Amino acid sequence: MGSRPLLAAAAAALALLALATWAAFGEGEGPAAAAVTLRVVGLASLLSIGAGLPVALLLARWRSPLRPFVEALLLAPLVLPPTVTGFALAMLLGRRGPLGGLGLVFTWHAAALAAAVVAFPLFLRAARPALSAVDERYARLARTLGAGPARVLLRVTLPLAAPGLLAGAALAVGRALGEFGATLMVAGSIPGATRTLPLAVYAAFSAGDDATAFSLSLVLVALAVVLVGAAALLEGDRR
Amino acid sequence: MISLRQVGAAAGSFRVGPIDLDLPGATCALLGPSGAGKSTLLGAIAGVIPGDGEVRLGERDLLALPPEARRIGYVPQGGLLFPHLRVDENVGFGVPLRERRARVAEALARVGAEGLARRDPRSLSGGERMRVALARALAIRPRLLLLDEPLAALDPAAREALLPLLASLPGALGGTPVLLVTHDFEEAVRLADHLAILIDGRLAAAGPPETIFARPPSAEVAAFLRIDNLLAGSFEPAGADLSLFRHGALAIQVAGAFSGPGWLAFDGSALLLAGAPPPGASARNVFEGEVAAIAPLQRGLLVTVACAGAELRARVTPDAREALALEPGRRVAVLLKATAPQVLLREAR
Repeated sequence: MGSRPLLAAAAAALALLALATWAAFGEGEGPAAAAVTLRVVGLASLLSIGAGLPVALLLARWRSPLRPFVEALLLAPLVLPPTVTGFALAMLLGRRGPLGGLGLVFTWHAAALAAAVVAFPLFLRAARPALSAVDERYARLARTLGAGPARVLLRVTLPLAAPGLLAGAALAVGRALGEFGATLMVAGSIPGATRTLPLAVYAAFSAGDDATAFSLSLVLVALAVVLVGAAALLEGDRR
Repeated sequence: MISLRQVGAAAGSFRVGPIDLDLPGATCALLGPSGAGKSTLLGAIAGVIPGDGEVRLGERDLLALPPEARRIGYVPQGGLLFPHLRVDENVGFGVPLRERRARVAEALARVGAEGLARRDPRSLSGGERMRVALARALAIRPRLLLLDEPLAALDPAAREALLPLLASLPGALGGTPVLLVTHDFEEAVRLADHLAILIDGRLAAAGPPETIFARPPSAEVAAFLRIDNLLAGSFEPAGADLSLFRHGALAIQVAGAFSGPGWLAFDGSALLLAGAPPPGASARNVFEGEVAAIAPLQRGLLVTVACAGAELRARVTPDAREALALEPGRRVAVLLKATAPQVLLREAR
């Protein structure tokens, strides 16, 4: 790896740190929404990457003509309207849904789950090809050097796929950050609890507070540019 | 001693084996045309592709173990260094953490690559890459070392620089057997004490080079080896730009200054037969011998002449046979130019 991954990671970390500082020390609507956003995005990233990595690994190793169809199914939320995702989650988590007993609706956990569901395909879309592109001969050779399958995964396969995996993570974080529709349907827009920055922009705009909507939008634009830029740097490093 | 017992592997529809081969503590060259299954067999022993049969070390069967428990040092073609790790991290990959520093330094020193420790493998030359890949395999203290075409794709200078290192391995490792895959006959005889010839996935011949050359067990082996005469012996200087090669009682003058043990290889077309030693020939070597056998070739005949306890094989036309009345038992003179044979010095072990 060259210095570009480091630069990309540093830029992304710095942007999130700035957001955290604003959330911790600022006062009012914006910092409150930033604090909710950080919580929601943090959990959503963990969930989407935590589920996406094993799925990407399995798909990368699965040599079957069925793979493209299964992938299409998993990637479909990329183009589905967020309202459809939100509706599905509401059915699942709602009081009469199969997971209704968890009481997640209208909590920040539900918001995180909604963000995770829409972020997952973005991570998968970058991670699966990155893992497929790793030359299998390295992994096989590593085993002759005494490394068991787990060590081969941690020391060879994942590091070799790292640029693509990190790019996918940056895109997933970015998508979670921008989630709006599904979140609104399952978590509502409760200030200080489930109102993330995108929801706060909508709330401010609805209330006629264009100045607030403008400044919060600016923050989101800056974060989006940094994260997509980081992903582009990481993806470019592979070529 | 490591023994291959009925070892086989499949690569697509191609199958290699079953192979039986004993590997004493020395270098054995697995020689054969490309596509014979040499790399496939090596990969199966290392565990990078599935294989069957047994690789016996004493009472144990290494092939029954998962690849990570075999402790077989494997150097694939091109070295295949991990691109995301520095040279020292590559070499230390298979070494437990607390011994890593010492063993990495030791392995790099053994291959003469001490100065490369901090380098990015992608910045290395072909020869350097091969040294580092070798160090990585040596660092695990292997029971058996497998080298897949270690000198292919290297320029001649890098190749010559690596030959002595490869030749010294079994000795330096205290008798660890080395199995070396090559398609190059010269490389094989310079490095190995034993040859195993693989043709179409089968073991076609095995033994010391001179034995295989003297008595190829089949026509396909003879056709693959192509060279009609391979004599084992030793060289000593004999005047300006001339050496004497002794093979038993036979002394052959060879152009160039050479000394030490080695082989003399030459084609049957390099030998001239005459009814009697001709006066004033330019050939430095004129021997008298007796025709022992005559065998037909695709083009011409192969005449074996017993001469000072050795057998020389000459290629002649049926026309020449008639003119000289060549029959088994006939006394003939054999002429060999000092510039004709190929000199193969045995690398110091």
